[in-house]
Amino acid sequence: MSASTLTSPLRRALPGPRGLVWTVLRLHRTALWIWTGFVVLAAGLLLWLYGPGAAHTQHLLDTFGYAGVQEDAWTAGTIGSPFSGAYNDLFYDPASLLNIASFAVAVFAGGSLIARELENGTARLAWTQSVTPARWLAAKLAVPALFITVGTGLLVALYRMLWSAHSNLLLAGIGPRALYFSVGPATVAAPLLGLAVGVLAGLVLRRTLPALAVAGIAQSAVIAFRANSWPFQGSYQQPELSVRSRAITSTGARIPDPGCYESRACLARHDVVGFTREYLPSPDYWPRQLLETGVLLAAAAILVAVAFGVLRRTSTS
Amino acid sequence: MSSTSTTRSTVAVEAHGLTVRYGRRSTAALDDCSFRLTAGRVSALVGPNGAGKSTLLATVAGLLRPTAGTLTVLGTSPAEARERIAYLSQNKPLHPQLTIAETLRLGAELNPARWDAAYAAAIVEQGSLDPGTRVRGLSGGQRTRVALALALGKRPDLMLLDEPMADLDPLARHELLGTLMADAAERGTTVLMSSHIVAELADACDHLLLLGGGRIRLGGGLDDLLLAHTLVTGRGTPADLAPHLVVESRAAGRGLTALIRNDGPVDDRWQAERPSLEELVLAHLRSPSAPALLAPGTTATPETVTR
Amino acid sequence: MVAYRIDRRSGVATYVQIVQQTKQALRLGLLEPGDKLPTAREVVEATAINPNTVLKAYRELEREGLVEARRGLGTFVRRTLGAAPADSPLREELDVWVRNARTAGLDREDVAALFGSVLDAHFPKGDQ
Repeated sequence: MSASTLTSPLRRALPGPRGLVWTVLRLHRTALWIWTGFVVLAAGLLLWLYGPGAAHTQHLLDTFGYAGVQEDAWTAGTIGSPFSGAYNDLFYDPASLLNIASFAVAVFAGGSLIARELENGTARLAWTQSVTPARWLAAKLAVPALFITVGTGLLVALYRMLWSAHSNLLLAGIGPRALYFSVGPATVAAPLLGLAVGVLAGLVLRRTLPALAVAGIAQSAVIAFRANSWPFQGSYQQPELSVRSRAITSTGARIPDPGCYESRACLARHDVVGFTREYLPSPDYWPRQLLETGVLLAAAAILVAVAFGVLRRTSTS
Repeated sequence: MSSTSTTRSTVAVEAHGLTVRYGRRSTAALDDCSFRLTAGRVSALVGPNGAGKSTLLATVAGLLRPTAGTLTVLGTSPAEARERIAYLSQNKPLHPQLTIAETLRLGAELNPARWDAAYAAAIVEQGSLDPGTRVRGLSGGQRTRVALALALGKRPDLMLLDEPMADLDPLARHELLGTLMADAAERGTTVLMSSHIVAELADACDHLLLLGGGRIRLGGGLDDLLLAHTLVTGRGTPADLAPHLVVESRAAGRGLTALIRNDGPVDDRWQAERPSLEELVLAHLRSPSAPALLAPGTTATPETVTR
Repeated sequence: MVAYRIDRRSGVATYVQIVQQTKQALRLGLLEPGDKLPTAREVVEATAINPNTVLKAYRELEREGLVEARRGLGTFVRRTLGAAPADSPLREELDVWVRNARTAGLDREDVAALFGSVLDAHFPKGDQ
């Protein structure tokens, strides 16, 4: 749906969003464009990591095994920096972007979506048309929630696809473990909780700056809690993620990595022509993901219910 | 162009013991306020700052929940009557990022059952405004015109305006009142508008609600209220004016000037004049302890339908 | 079309001003039998006064037999006022008289006072 079909009165005959949905789309057009831009950008990064971005490191893995992966990760010199440019670091960047997005959703929901309208009186403008405050709030929640679910859902699907294809190019350690257990339905639920956090902050505080600040702080806490506390993917509390590395000989036999590092002579001596490496799926993945998703969505549902309650106390709906 | 309202009640607003309190401990903004506003009236809601004018209008608009009492608007609760009420608040909030055309589209989208696009567009056109202009770039008077188009476009049966003319220049005031009166003439829209400048409402309104201390101090048709009072000048003391009720008296040379609520004809010793609306209102504002007067059509009957 | 001018400081009730201005238009021949008065909507839009004020004025004019309301059509002039339209012989006579007065050395206020006293003698006050 493009902006022109939403706004041009000439296209009114076309079936398009109507009523409150149109209103929310039009009033928050800029935010929705920014969100769409973010999704496209992150999807582009994921697809690049899936395709051309992986080629060089994959070649090193094929040639030297895990030693090649290590060599590639260290070339940039600053392991762990999101800006190092090494494949091992770039792989984690979409996860950081998703966290930033869930933070941004909370800030937007607290500030621009709700509190600004209460502060400058435009919420009352809507409530004195033919719509009740409750329907107004429902639309304010539903439209962004749809965009969040579709956008984040797409990114999570791409991330899982990328994981299946190229997680073998990641340095072993806490990183792959934390990433593996965190990307999934819960990644979609987190910004939805951010939306609820922001909406409630906006309705309670009714002023833009305090609301967006409180929403941002609260959602930061959610993000931190997700990363460090069981049953969430606590970085130091997750189950081990098994990795299986094998060297392939010219006869096609799979043998343990001979430990040659980057010595081609050593590899020739062991008759190694290639390598395979993979992180094995963990049986703990789905129980953990579903439990976390359930907790996040339940929290979001409670906050939304409270938000409707707050709205009902302050207005007649 | 027919109004979609089915049964048009003859009472536009009826409040009985209406109390609105912000927070638990603060004093009530409306305190046991009772009155009735007949449909088709153009009523001026006047009173000092803090008298509860904005609170009353917002409550009738369904934006505030009464703490106690009953409030019937267009025969039902304010929330139920939402479609048929238009409300223009003091700062006339509009979305600055929308164009005028988009603002009217908003009215169409949010009032699907009642929106009269041609009428709303005509009001904007009378101000020779370009529909493509963003609200952000409009002057105060132009914003008011757009806000009024949005309010009248839904073809309300009850129009509530909170200090509509504050911060408008004289021309914009005249245009606003003219548009409003034209709508009232054409459709019999009930209008309730607040102002603390009485004079500017004197010609436009035919009904008065004077609010003080959260209650109606004076209410009724303008003509009835003016006829019920006399401005007298002469030698004597306030006690000499019995049986009339002295609302306010002030020393004038050796005698006094007083605004009285007549009880029968005034003695010939006194020079009697009809007060102007402004004199009537000011006298009551200066004497908060004067008993309230509600003209017969303006009293709320106790057996009102409850919320 | 008559354009009413409301003077808020005159102390004259608004509806009376409309009645007087309509009569003035009738006297001057600006309105003739069959002419339509502006609708209440048109008047209030231009003057920002209450519609009931206009209706009250029109009722007053109707009561005096000067206009009649035709349902759904509007309010129309029934008869004119005074036998002195703008270009009548009476006006010509008055014109000649004023010119003579001026030649005789009377200034504007003298003429007005003289005219007023004769007017009062023939039409006693309160007779309006």
